Order: sequence, then C-alpha cells, then structure tokens
Amino acid sequence: MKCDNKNVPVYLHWNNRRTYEHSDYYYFHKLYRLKARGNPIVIPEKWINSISCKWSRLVKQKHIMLQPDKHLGDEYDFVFIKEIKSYQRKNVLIDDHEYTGIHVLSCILKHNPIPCDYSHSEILIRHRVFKDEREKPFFDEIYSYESWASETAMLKKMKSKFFKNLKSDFRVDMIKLISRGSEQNTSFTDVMALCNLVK
Amino acid sequence: MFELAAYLEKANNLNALKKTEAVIQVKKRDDGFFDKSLFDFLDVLKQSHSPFLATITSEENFKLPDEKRSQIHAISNELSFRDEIKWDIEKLLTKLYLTNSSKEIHVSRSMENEFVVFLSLNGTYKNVLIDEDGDIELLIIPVDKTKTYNKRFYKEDGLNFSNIVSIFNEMR
Repeated sequence: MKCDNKNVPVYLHWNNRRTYEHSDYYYFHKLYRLKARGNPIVIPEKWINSISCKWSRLVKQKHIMLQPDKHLGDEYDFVFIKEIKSYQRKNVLIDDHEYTGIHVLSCILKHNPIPCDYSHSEILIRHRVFKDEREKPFFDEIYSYESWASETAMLKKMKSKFFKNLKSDFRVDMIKLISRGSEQNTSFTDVMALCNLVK
Repeated sequence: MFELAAYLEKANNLNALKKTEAVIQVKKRDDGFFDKSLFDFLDVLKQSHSPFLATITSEENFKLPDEKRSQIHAISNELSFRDEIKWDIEKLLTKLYLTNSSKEIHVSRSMENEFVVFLSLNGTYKNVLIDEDGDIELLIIPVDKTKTYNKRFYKEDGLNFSNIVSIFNEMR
C-alpha cells in the first residue's frame, strides 16, 4: 500500500519485512501509545482496537507522532517492556461455574506492522485459568483482535459480575501501567528506570 | 426553556431569584424567553448556592435539551442498546446535569461498546460508563494516571441513580 504522507521516513515503512515475536521485545525497550482525544476511554467512532502501540526498537523518538491515516493528538504515553511483561492480574472465581478457579490475565506482545508503521505493535490479553497454580492451566488463550471484536473471547462474552470485574480491572491496570507522559521520555528517565528495573 | 419560563411565572419566584448572589442577571424577554440558555441559567444558580435551585430543578420540571437526547439515542442505537437502558442513561444524565456544570458534560462511546458520559476537569477525566446490560462503572482518570480507580454498580442489584451520581460527584 502506498503511503500518502510524505513525512513518513523510508525506514518506517513495512515493505513486508519480517515480523518479530513476543520474546524479541527486550525489557529495556519501550511501547509508545498515542493519546486519542484526551480521555483514554473515548475512541473515534467505529474504531475499535486492542491496545495499539509503537515499539521503540523500530521507531525513532522524533517520529513517534507521525500518523499517516489519522491524527491522534500531539502527546503520547509510554511504558517499559519489563513492566508489561511482568504484569499479572489475578482474580479467583469461587462460584460454581465451568471456569471456577484462579484466573490470571497477563500481556502478550504482538508485532503487527501496518504499511506505514513497521513499529506498530499490540498488547494482547493472555487469559489462563488454573485449578491449582502449581499445575498447568485448564484454560489458556491469547485473545486476538478478531476474537475480541466477534465476542468469542471468553472474557468478552461472559456477562457475569466476575468476568465484568476482571475485564474492568484489566482496563484500569493498563491505564495505570501505560502512564508515563511524553515529557518524561528522556535519556535521564531511561537510565533511572533501567536502574530500577534491573533491581 | 419555555417550560422553565412558564414555571417561574407560575411560581412567581423571579423576585426570589433577584435576591440571590447570582453573577449575571437573568431577564425575561418580550417573547417570554430568558436571555440566557437554560443551562447557563442553572449554572449561575449553582454558583450562587441559591435555595431556589432545588425548587426549579426537581426532575419533574427538568428535561434534557433535545440535542443531548438526540445524542443519547444516536449512540445507544449504534451500540444496539435496549430502550430500557436508554431511559436509564437519560435518568442518569439528567441527574448529572442538575448537579454539574452543563459545559463540562460530554457523551461518547468507549472501546468496549459502552455509553460514556464524562466530565473533563483540569485534566482529570471523570467517566460514567454504561454497558449493554445497564451495569454502570464510575472511572476516574486523574492527570497522574497511576492513580486511576473505579467503582462498579450492577443492575441486577438495583441501581439507585441519585446515590450513584452522588458518589460520582464526590470522586476526585
């Protein structure tokens, strides 16, 4: 696909180059999330997505705000990969239910380049359910964009309080996690954060 | 607007209004309308802490502006919400209008197909999210997003909108 935005540098175009795996996201990399319309909850009409981000490994800081298709404001938030990879939300379903057990939500990183943004990545939800955490989960699924949009994902289709609370907790956690403002995206912050992350 | 004018006329309370410490004057025009919009008028009353506010803003005397009701129906239809949920949203929004500045209240939808009513106050986003089942989440996103928090209310437990709005207004 041809990019209409002449400001997009050559290196940022996908051109069908290889895609990376979850394990290629190193702990010191960052994910940038553009702020849309100020209120993080609100989205432009009919635009539903997973948590869409840009990966620091493949985009230069000065090009983070480039948006060929839609303008999403002038600011962004960011998070270190270490924080995303170590995230876990654990809620226990005790009611008599097909999925009674320990529900654990975590994040999986998916490199999902688009024609004019090779760095484009998504944070997907991994949902596991354990009877006993020492054993293998009896439910283990990574929700794709498609499964979420079509409501086949268990977390999306289940309507009981437990599942709604779990989904809602995850959303709050993500807002809290991806919360460093663009003004903090400096070498000094990187060094300080890395020192803390390594600890 | 007209209903308010008629109500005030009937209640003969214009003199009482003049005694408030309202910053602006609300004058009746020759055509029977006031020279300020209903919501500007209410905002002034709210600022003045006039006891008159409670009299004129009882819900029987108050209707959301047509523009806002159209927005509610457009977004609810897009989200395929049942009529019952649309009425709940109207009730909730009415209570929010009566207790907050109308200029700060916005409506939209979320990534999760929820109806969103939100107030933007000095960089803090105060959200009321209503889903297709009529369940409600109050979600506060402060400037410092690490302090984001929420409260949930379920329709099956019975929703007390006055109580929910009161809690929402207290949340910072």
